Amino acid sequence: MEICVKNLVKRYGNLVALDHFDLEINQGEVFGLLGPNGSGKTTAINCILALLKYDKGTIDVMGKPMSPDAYDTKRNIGVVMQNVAVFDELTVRENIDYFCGLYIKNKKERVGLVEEAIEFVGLADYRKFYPKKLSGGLLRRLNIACGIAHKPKLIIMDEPTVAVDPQSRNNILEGILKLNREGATVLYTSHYMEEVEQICSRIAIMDKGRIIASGTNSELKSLIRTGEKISIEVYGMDSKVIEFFKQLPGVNSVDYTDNKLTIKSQRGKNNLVSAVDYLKSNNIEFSRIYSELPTLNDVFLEITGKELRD
Amino acid sequence: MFSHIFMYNLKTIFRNRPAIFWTLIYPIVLSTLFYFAFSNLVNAESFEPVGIAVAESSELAAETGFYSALASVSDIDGTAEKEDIFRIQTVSQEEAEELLKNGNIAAYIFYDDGIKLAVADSGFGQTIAKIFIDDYLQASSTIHTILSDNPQAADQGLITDLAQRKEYLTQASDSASSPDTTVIYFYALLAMTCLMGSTVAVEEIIKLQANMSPLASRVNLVPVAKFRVFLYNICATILFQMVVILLVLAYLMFALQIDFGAKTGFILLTCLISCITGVFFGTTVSVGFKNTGIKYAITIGGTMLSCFLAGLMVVDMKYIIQESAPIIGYISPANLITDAFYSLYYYDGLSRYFENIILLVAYSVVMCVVTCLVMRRKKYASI
Ligand SMILES: Nc1ncnc2c1ncn2[C@@H]1O[C@H](COP(=O)(O)OP(=O)(O)O)[C@@H](O)[C@H]1O
Ligand SMILES: [Mg+2]
Repeated sequence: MEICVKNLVKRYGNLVALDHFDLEINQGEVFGLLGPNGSGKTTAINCILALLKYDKGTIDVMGKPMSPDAYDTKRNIGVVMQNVAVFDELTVRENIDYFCGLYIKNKKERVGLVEEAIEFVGLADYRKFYPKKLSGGLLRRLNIACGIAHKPKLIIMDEPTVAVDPQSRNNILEGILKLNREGATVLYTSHYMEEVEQICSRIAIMDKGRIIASGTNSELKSLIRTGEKISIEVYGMDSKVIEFFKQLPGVNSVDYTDNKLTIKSQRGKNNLVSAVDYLKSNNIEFSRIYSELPTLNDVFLEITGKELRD
Repeated sequence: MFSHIFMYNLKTIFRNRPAIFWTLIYPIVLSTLFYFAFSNLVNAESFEPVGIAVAESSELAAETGFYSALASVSDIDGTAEKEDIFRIQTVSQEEAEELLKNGNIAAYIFYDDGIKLAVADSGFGQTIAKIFIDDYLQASSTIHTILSDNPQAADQGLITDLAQRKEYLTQASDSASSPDTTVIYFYALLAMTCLMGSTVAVEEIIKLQANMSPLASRVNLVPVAKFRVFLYNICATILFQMVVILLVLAYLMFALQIDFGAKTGFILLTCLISCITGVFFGTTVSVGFKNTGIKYAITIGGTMLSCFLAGLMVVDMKYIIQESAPIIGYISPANLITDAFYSLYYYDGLSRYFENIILLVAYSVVMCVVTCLVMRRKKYASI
C-alpha cells in the first residue's frame, strides 16, 4: 500500500478540518479525492506529507511512518501543490533543474530528466521564460513539471487544474494518465467531479473533513437510489402533470424549476418513453429532452443534501 | 549538492531586483548625495582651527621637539594657514582651566610628569588634540628607545619613517576636521550597506519556512535536510553581500576618493563580520514575524535607525550617543561597525577595534542560534 491513513484528526482551533479521516491508496492506482472547497483535501495532503502537525491518527507512506526527515520516502514522492511554488528569479528550465537536482545527484541523468519533464508539460518553447511571463495555464504546467521531473513512484497532486484553460487542463489530465501508465501511483484531489470521473480508478468523496463514500466510479453510483435522470425543457405546466410523473413506477423525485423538469428514477427503471408519450398526448409543448446516468454530484447531493459546487 | 543549492541561490539573489536596490543601489545613491553635499559644505565654510591652550611651565618649555611639532600644525601668528589644525594660546594653568570651563577652548596641554591633555568633554577638537599628543608621545618615545638600544637605527630610515608618520598624522588630523567629519558619514554608510544584507536574509527564511510561502512548502518536501539547504543558502547570501560591499567600497574609494586609511585587510574583515551580523539579523527577524511587511519594516527600519544613531545623517549623533546613552553604542550594530572603522583609522592599537569586532561576532552567534532554534521546528500547526 502506498498511502495508509487511519483516524486522522486535525483541528485549527475550534474548527475540525479532518474528522477521523481514513485513506488507503494501493500501488498503481489513480486515486481521486473529491470534495467541495474547504472540505479538507489540502489539509489531508499536508498532513500526509508531514508538513502539518495533527491531533490524532497514523500516517504510513510506502509502508513506513511518515515524518519530516523520512528522506528515503520523500525521495520517491513527487508533489504538485495547490499553490504555484516556483522561483520567480529562475527560468522555466532552471526551476525544473533546481528541484530535480535536489532528488537526483547524477548530473547527466538530471539533464535528461529535465528535458523529458519540459517536453512532458509542453513548455519546450518557454525554456528561457521567467514565471512572471507565463500565463496561468503554463505556470501550472511548470508547477507540475517541478514536482514530477525526478520520476517519483508516488505523485500527489492538489487541484493542479484550478484556474487553468480547458486545453491545458486536458493536457494535464492526459499527462497524469501517462505517468500512471509508466508506473506511478497518483493521489489526485479536485472539486471538479468530471475530472475525477475521467481519470481516477478509485474515488473518495469527502465533506467537512470526513470521507463520506469511496469506491470505483460505478460503485459510488450504485450507492444511491437514482439510476436514471430525465430532463425535459417544458414551457408552462401545472401541478397535475407533476403529480402524474410522480406516480410513474420507480420515480424517486420530480422537480420543476426554470422551465426544466427533472425526473429521477430508481435503477433499472426506464420512464423516458412514457414521459414523452404523456406530454404528447396532453399537447404539452417541450423542446429538448435528455436522459442521463447519475453523476458524482448526485451521489454527493444524495448523501449530504447539498450540491458539490455551491 | 552544495554547489547545486549554492549556485542556484546565488542566481536567485543576483536576479532579485529589490535586493539589488536595497543593498547596492541605495548605498551608492546615498553616498553620491553625501559626497556632493559635503563637497559644498567643505568649500563653503573652510575648516576652523581647534582652539587649545598651553599652560606655561618650565618643564614644557624644555620639550622643544614637542613645541616645534605643535607649531608646525598651529596658527600662532594669527594668520590662519590651510594646514593649521590648532589655534594656540599660551597662558597660565589657572587661566587655561578657566578657558576650558567657559568652553573657549577644546583642550589644554600641561605638564605633570609628562605631557598631558585636559579636556572638558568629547568632540572633534578634543579627539584631534588627543591624537596629536598620543602620536607625538608614542613617536618620541619610540625614537628614544630605539636610538638607545640600537644607534644604527637612525641610519636605517627609522627616523624618516617616524617623520612620515607625523606627516600622516598631520593629514589625518587635517582631514579629521574637514573631510574627516564626512568620513564618519561614510563609515555609517558602509555599516548600512553591511546591515542591509538583512533584507536578503529575510527572503531566505521565507523561502524555507513552510508556513511562510508555497515555495518553502515545496522545499520542505525534498529529500534534503532543511538545515543543509539553509546553511548553503546563507553561504550564498553572505557571498552576495560581500560582493555588494566590495562594489560599494570600491565606489567610495575610487570614484569618490574617500580615504579609509591603510589597513585594508582589517577593513575587509570588518565588512565580512558586519555582513554576517546583518544576515543573521535578517534571519532572526524573519523567523520571528510572520507578516512579510513587518519583516522588511523591521530590517530596513532597524538598519536605518541603527545607522542614524551611528551618525549616518547627523554626525554628532555618534557623540551624543557616546555621551548620553553609551549602552546604545554597545547594542546598536551600526555603532559597533562605525566604531570599528573609526578605531582602525584613528588608533594604532587594535584593542578598541577588536572590542567592537568581538561584540559583533557575539551578536551574530546569538542571532544565528535563535534562528536555528526557531527553524528546528519541522511540522507546523497551520500553513
Ligand atoms: N491555516 C488555517 N487556519 C485555520 N483554518 C484553516 C487553515 N487552513 C485551512 N483551514 C480550514 O480548514 C478547512 C479545510 O481547508 P482545506 O484543507 O484547505 O480545504 P480544501 O483543500 O478541501 O479546499 C477549511 O474550513 C479551511 O477554512
Ligand atoms: Mg485545497
